[in-house]
Amino acid sequence: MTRSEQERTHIVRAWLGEGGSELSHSVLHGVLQEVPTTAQDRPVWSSRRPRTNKMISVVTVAAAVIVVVIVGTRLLPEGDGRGSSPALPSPTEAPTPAPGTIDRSYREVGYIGLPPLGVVSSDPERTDLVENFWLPRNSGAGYRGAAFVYADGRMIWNEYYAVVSASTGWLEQRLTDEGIELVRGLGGQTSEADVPRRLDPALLPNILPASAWADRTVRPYVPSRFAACVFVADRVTRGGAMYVEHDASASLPQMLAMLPGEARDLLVNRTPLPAGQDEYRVCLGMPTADARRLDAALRDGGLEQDASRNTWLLEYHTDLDGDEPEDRWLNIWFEPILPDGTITCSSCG
Amino acid sequence: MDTDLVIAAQHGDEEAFARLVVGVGGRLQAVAQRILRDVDLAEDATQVALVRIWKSLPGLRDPDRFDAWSYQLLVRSCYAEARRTRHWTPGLSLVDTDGSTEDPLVSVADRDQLERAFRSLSFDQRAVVVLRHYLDLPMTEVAEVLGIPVGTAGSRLHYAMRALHAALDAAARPMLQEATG
Repeated sequence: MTRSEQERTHIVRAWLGEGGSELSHSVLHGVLQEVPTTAQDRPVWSSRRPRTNKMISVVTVAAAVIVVVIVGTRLLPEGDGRGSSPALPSPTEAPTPAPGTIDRSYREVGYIGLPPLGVVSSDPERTDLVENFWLPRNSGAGYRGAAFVYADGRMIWNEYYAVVSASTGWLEQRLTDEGIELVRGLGGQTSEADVPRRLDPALLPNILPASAWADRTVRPYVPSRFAACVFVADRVTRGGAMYVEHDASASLPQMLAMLPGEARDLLVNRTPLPAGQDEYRVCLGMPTADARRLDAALRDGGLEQDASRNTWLLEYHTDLDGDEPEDRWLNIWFEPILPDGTITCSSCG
Repeated sequence: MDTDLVIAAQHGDEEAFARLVVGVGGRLQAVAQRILRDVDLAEDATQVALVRIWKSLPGLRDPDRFDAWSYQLLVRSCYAEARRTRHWTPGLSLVDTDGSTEDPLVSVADRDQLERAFRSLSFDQRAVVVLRHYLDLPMTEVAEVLGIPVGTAGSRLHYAMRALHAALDAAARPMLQEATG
């Protein structure tokens, strides 16, 4: 019972034809949300024509409906999702974006990786965490946004926009005592490892009243210390599927030995930070000046950067097996050490 | 594909683009799902591709070439998505086949072997197979979408199909043994 080549090709085509071919609502909604705020690239030869206001308003209304649905969903308490929305403070009277819209200027305020030279670090360096929020990614592991509220009133947050592969970077605003109390209880102090669907960090600025803000201005968050985190990963094929597995057996000395000499020397005598240590990654803390030296040493040492990932984190990697595509590699990247000592994992996911 | 919608969207008409998305988005997502074999990644790749299409649309010189051009942007987005996440976890969200779209020509064993074999193909091979045998594009257009010479596209297709055919042979083997045993 051998099949001819034609029969086999026919089966492949039939198999490829299986499955749906519909556009997901989430994709359609995501696109409709992005389009009104995404400028078209116009080549010089292209003629321009005025926009049709009616058309814009139709799409805007559609997007607004979607935003209301999304925001409404996010504000619902967890559980069966049928309960009433928690009592939230009235929106501030200050001119703000409509609830659910993301102020694009946030992206222009923050920085990715290490802060520009000469900026002043956020003060104080250490303080207690009051509340935090996590926003899970649509796919894969990890999160796409997080907000941390501290006892001194600082709210430190970031968010990643999948559609444009860009992050706000870490940003900072300051709450009053009233603001802290309003925020307390909205989230739930859960760990990054168990990312729940909570409030969108970028929406928090829009749902608090003016009296909640000591300083509503969005500024880049500049920590005093950074962590350099490292792990080794393998691409494995199991049952025909490809997976990435982190190599938990790679010890810190082994991983450091894989780095260029100067980078290794900058790391070798540092103690791993408990907050940045899990089953596979190890994080080493250092002042910003040392982080800059390490960054230069990694770059000069010939480690590679992936342009599509370095839009939201400062990360280097090195191929450990010489294959293309690489099947075993080492990742090293920088994370801010937040005022309570938290170290998030931008490279996870 | 409605060329008038493409032209209107090129000039910034957002409603025309919304209609265009409704018209072509399903096909783009289907292509992404077949290349990536992962629903979540395919959704992300499709969304990114559609926004890029909107952004770059004024630069499309020939609106009649919209389909091929949109596939080009989609394949790039799929590639970026696969690279960015660096890990495909296809076991979590396979292409949705609830049974209603299954072809009786394909046996369970065929399906299993094809899935495994397809996942072991390189990204470039997956793309060429899907463009040729799912979208039914002629090889010249497959090559154009992928930005490679026709000969290279043909070679990739040859090796990919050889692997898939071998997988089907493997699927048929137990049946053969049963029949003769």
